[in-house]
Amino acid sequence: MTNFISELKKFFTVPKNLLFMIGIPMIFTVFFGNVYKNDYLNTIPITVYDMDNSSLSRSLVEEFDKNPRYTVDFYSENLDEVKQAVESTQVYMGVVIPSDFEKDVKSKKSSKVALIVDATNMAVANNALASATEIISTVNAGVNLQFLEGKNVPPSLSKRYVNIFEMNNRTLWDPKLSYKYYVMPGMILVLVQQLFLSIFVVNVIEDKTNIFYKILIHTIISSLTFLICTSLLKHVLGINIIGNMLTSTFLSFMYLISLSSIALVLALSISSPLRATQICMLLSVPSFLTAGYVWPVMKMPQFSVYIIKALWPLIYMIAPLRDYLIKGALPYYFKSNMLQMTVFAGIWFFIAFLISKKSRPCLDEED
Amino acid sequence: MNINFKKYIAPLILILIFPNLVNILTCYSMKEKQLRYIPSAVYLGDNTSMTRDIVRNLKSSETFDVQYIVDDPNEVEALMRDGKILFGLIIPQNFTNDIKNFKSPKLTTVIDGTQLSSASFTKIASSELLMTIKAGAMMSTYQGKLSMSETEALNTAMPINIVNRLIGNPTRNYINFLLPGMMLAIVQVAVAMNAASSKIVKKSSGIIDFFKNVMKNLIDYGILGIVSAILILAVQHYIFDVPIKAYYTRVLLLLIVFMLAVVSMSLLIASIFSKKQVFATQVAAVWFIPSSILSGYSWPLISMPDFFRQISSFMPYTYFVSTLRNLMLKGHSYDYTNNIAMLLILTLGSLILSLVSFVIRKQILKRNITLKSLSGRKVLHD
Repeated sequence: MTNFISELKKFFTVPKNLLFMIGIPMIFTVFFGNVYKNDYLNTIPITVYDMDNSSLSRSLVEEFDKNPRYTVDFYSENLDEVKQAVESTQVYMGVVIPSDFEKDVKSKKSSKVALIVDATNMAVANNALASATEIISTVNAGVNLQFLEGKNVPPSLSKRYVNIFEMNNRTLWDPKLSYKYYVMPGMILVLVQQLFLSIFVVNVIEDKTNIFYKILIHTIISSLTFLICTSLLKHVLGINIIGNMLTSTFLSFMYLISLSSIALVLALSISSPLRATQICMLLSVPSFLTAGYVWPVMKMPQFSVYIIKALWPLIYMIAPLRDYLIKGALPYYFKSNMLQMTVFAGIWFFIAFLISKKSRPCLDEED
Repeated sequence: MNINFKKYIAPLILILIFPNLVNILTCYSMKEKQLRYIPSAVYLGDNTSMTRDIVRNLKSSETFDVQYIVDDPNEVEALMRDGKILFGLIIPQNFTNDIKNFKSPKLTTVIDGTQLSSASFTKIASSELLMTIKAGAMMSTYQGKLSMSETEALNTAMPINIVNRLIGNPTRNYINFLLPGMMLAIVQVAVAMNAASSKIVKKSSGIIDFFKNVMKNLIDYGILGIVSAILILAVQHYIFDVPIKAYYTRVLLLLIVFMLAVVSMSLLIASIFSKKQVFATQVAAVWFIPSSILSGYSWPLISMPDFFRQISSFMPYTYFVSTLRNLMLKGHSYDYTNNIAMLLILTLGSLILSLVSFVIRKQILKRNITLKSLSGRKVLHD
């Protein structure tokens, strides 16, 4: 118990520990959350080339103009201008309405509106396309009604013909499909992970006594930081957290215990705090990209899943924890993930134990 | 010439080997490239030839993989909550009859909004599919009720069609979209942390000496960073088919100028925090890691509040990464020259500021030494 208290004192007397393990994750949670403050991808700059300039084409252009998703930046004079504007990323989409558009539509020859989209950024391209499809579908319905009126179909019946069935979409848990909901619940775990690593590893390098208590203290404090960050998501950034925050904090604690196994291996293999800090900081982007958050695990080849699961534990926890926070339920594979994460921790703690038996660290040089 | 190879081992591992291994692993993990065969469920409330046709259409599409036919519409949401499916279609009871009686039944698509990558894609794909099905239903009605010919009915149901032309990434390939920039972000952070921890101030006795050390670091870390970046792009291009449509020389020039900007900015950090290597490394990490978010690479700059756009304008990555993606996927980037110029300005500005920081630091040191020696003499005199 005295050892635990002395470790606790040691931890709290170093301001850097508090700043990095508690302060910075909180600051970054609010900072990054505000980057994604605008839920919708609105006012996407577009250009319109209206070759027809008829009342129908103008009404179509008006639909694009008044839709908050787009800003009609300028009107093009020819097709090359549209292409160049899209190619140069001056606009993200070009709407091209062909000549004889109205004439063709009215004479039931059908006409084609071309959407030239800059697809290099898929987030913009998908949003731009989805709304354009909706707009054209609405205009189509209007034209349909006019046709049916021409055929002397009573208005009430023609509406029924046009709305032969309704297409209703329910996007669950994040109807706005915002980056804030998508990225932030996972990002706070990565933030906590990174700052836990950079402090824990350096503290163990500098003092290799009472490792068990060090693990306990660092993991408990980082889990509490996770709880604070989750509260910030809910109360400051307005993310609807459905899952129980204490349960999610416990899950983050389990994750950090498992992480401490490989962190211990790093701490026992590297003698230079500088190199340790560099390695720990370098792991943020790779661990996030390979954890099944950006690209789902179910779409990864099994071989790479095995490798990732053997090397870093984030893949076991990040998606289940996100699901728990946003959906309020853990996914079906959670139990097996927890079991695998326990095995992971056991193996890496054993490796750490073997390394601790050797006196010389593997990577001990410094400039 | 006596070169100490040992001191290059750690930078070599961090800048060259680690990012390249991550590159291979990540590209391999995303080797499917497009999100296809998304696990889906259908509630078939009305089992008729028409509704079975809808399910058949869904099954034959490359986007969806119908894994469950459920008995209760609530099961769709339950499966989604369990993480078993990402898309669901609810066909209500009496759907076919309601269509025949023009009661406008509701066909509901359910999408898991927590998986943004698949959600936006399934939303487009499902709405295209259902619009086609709807047009088909309208066509049969027009043919039956208004005695239209097939062509007339089709053109009445779908008077305006959409033709999409996706420039740069027509197949919505995830590797092309995400990985060139993200992998070079890792190289950037590795270069920055190594350069920021260099002891350029301590090793320099005067301005000329400082200049020489800065140049040496610029060349050392710059070359390591460029070689690592080239290897990453080569693996992506030759093994994972990421296109590089622009001339290689243009990409190389951009890489060189970018690395110069990253190293010089890191040397500025090194010269400011010269006494604390670990802290300088942490400052470099805190400055360079968020640049992959603030650069507009995935979440576009147009949707960020002004404050963040202004911060990103001081980050080399902002001028580099979209230009790189445009060069690779489109073959050209209209802001190429401007961005090269901005990167050179950042390089020059950082180098000048590091020199200023060095001069100030040395003057403070000199004054402290003078004060100490004066106080020493005074003590002796007393």
